[in-house]
Amino acid sequence: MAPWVGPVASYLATGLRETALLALACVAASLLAGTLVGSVLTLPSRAVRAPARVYVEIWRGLPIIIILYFIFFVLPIIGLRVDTFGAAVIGLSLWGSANVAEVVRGAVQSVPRGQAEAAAALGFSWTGRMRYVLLPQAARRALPPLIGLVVNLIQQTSLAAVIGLLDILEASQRSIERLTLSGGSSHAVPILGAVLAVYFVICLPLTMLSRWYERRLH
Amino acid sequence: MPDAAGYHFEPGFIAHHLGELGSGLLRTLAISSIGMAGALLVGVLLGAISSLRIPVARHLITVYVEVFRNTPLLVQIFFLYFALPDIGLQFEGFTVGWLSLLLWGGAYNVENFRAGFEAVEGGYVEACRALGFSRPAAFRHVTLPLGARIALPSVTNILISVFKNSSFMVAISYPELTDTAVNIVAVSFRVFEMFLAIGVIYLGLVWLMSLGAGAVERHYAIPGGH
Amino acid sequence: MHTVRSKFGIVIGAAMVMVLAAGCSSSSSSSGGSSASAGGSGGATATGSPVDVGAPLPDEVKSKGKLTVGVKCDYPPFGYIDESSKNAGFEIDIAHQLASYAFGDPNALTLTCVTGSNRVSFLTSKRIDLIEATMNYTQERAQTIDFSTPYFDSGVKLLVPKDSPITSFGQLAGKSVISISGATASLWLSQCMKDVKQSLFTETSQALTALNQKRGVAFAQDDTLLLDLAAKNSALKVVGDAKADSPWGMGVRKGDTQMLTWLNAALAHLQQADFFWTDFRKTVTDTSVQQQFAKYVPRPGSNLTYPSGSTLQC
Repeated sequence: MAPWVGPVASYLATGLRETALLALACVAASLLAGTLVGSVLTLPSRAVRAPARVYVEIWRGLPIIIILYFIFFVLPIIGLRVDTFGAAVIGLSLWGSANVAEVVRGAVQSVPRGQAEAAAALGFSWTGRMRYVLLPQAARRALPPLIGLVVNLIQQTSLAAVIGLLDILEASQRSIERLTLSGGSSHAVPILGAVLAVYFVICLPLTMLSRWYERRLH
Repeated sequence: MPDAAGYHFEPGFIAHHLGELGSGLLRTLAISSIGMAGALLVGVLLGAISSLRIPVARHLITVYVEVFRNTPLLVQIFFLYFALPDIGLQFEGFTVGWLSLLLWGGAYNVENFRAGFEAVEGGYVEACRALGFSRPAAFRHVTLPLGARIALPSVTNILISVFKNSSFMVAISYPELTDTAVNIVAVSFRVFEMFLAIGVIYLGLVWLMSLGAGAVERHYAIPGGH
Repeated sequence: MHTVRSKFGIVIGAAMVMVLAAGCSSSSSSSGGSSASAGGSGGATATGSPVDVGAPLPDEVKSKGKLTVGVKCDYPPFGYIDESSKNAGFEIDIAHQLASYAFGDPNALTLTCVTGSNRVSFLTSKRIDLIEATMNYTQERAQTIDFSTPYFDSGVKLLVPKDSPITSFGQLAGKSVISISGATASLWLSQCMKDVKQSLFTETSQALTALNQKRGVAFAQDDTLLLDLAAKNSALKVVGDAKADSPWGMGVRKGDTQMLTWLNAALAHLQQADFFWTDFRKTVTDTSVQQQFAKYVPRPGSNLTYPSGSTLQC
C-alpha cells in the first residue's frame, strides 16, 4: 500500500462515522415529522391543511444547498444558535420531511375512501381512523418510495460538506487539499472513487430492497 | 432591522446586484435545460432498450443506472471535474454542469420509463401484433405512448430536481445562480438578503415548472385509466 | 470506538486500493512533500493559569470556556491541515497562544476552517469569536468588521507554469485568471483589471489543480502562499510586482469593543514576548523567505501599521 493511503483512509473513516450519524438523525427526524405533516395534509379542513401545504411546498421547492446555507448563516443572525451538525440535521430534515409528507399523503389518499367512511361509521375518531385503518394500509404502499427517499437522504448528507461538516466527502476534500498542497499528486481518482464506492455499498442494498418490495406489492 | 448580532437588513442591496444574478440565472437555465432535455432523451431511449430486454445492452444500462442512482450527485460532480483530468479527460465547468445533471437525471428516468413501459398491459401489445404490427412498430405505436404517459409524473419530478440540483455546481465554482450569490456574499457579506433573494428565485421557478408539469400531466392523462 | 474506526479505515483503504488496481490512477508514488507537523499545541506554553494581558476577556467567551477561531485550512505554512489531520501553521500557533492567555490552556480552543468567501459570514453569524485567516486589511472589510492590530503582511502576486511567457500583471489583459472568491487578489483584479476573466474557487487546492489543468493562465493570490506552493511544485514559479500590499489583521464583530480590546492587548503581549518572530522562523524554515518577510513580523519595538488610504490601488 502506498504511504499516503493509511492516513487518508483513517481520516475518511472518521468522516464516515459523521456521515452515518447525520444520516441516522436525518432519516429519523424526516420520517417522524414527515408522517405528521403528511397526515395533516389528509385532514378535511382546508384551514388546517394550508400551513402544512405551505411547509411542504417551500421545503420541497428549494434546492437543499440553499436551505443549508440559510439555516447555517441566517438562523444565528436571528438569535438561534445551532452547531454545524445541528444545522445540517435541521436543513436536511426540512427537505426530507417535506418529501416524506408528500409520500404519506399520497399513500393515505390511495386507500379507498369507503374504508375511512366505514371506520367513521363504526365510531372511530380521526386519530383512530388514521391509527388503525388508514396508516397501516398506507404504510405498505408508502414503503417502497420511502426507502427510495431514505436512499436519497443518505446521499444528500454529502451536502453538509458545503457548510463545512467533516463528513466523508469533506474528509476526502481535505485529504485531496493536503496532498495537493504538499506538492504531490492529489490522488483524486482513488480517493473520490473510494467515497463513491462507500456510498454505493450502503445505498445499493436499500435500492434493491425497495424494488423487491415494490414488485411484491403488485 | 438591527438585532443581537448587529445585523442590518438592507433590501435595496439586491437591486445593485441584479445584473450579476441575472447572468448567473442564465447559466443555471442553460445547464439545467440541456441537462433536462438530455435526461429525458436518455431516459426514453435506454428505458425502451431495458424494457425490451435486449441482451448485453440491458445489463450495461443496469450498471449505469445503479451506479448513478446509488451515489451522491455532489460526489459525481467532484469526480467529473477534479478527478477525471487525472486520467486524461478534462471538461469545462459548463460541460461538467450539464453532463452531470444529464447523467444523474437520465439514470432516474431510465427507471421511470422502464417501469412505465412494463406497466403497459400485455394485451394491448398482443392485439397490436395480431393486427400485423412488427414488434418495434407495436412498441412505437402502443407501448411508447401509453408507457410514457404512465411514467410522466415521476419523470417531471426528476426534471424539476435536475433544475434544483444545478445549484450543486457551486461546489466546482461554476458561476451559476448559487455560486454567483456566494461570490457576491464573499465581498459584500450580505448573507441574509442574498440567500433570501435567490431562494425566492428558485422557489418561483420551481413553482412555475410544477404548474407546467401539472398541465402537461392533465393533458396527457390516460382517459379513465390507471 | 477506536476499533470501529480502524475497521472502517481498512474498508476504505481497501476500496481505494481496488480503484487503484482497476487501473484508474496513473501513479501512486508518494511525493517528497514535507508538511511539517506542528503537533497539536504548537509553540504554545504549557498549561497553567490564564495570563492577565491588561484587559478582561469578554464574559461571553469566558463562560464558554473556549475560544472559537476561524482559521485557514488550505494556506500552508500559515494555516493548514497536517498529515495527522490536525490544524497546523503560524496562525494556528498564535491561536493556541491566545487560548493559553485566555484560559491558561493552549487547547481551550475550537478551530473552524473558513475560506476567503465565508469567513466574514462565519463571524457575523456568531459561529466564531474571531477571524484569524490571512485577512488583509481593506477599508471595505473594515466597514463590516473591526480589525485588530496587524500581525503580518502580504501582497498579491501570480503563480504561473515555469514555461509561461507571463511575467507581469499587465500581460493578463483579456485572459482567464484563477483566483479565490473573496480574497484580496480577486478584489484587486475586479477593481483594477476589469478585462480579466476571473475563475473563482474557494479552496487553494482547487485553484492549484485548475492552474495545473490550464483552466487559467495564472493563479493570483498572496505572495506568502504562492512562495510556499512554488517551493513544493518545481513546475511552477511566482512572478509580478506585489499588488494591494496590506497588513493582516484579525477580525472581530463590528462594535465588539470588549473583544477587540482584549485581543489587541493579547497581541501586544505576544509581540513583547517576541512570539511572532520566534514562531515564524519555526514554521517558515526557508531562511531566504524568512529574510524577505522579516520586516512584516511585529517584534518588540517594531510595529506594523495599517495604511490610511485605500489598499486596493491600481
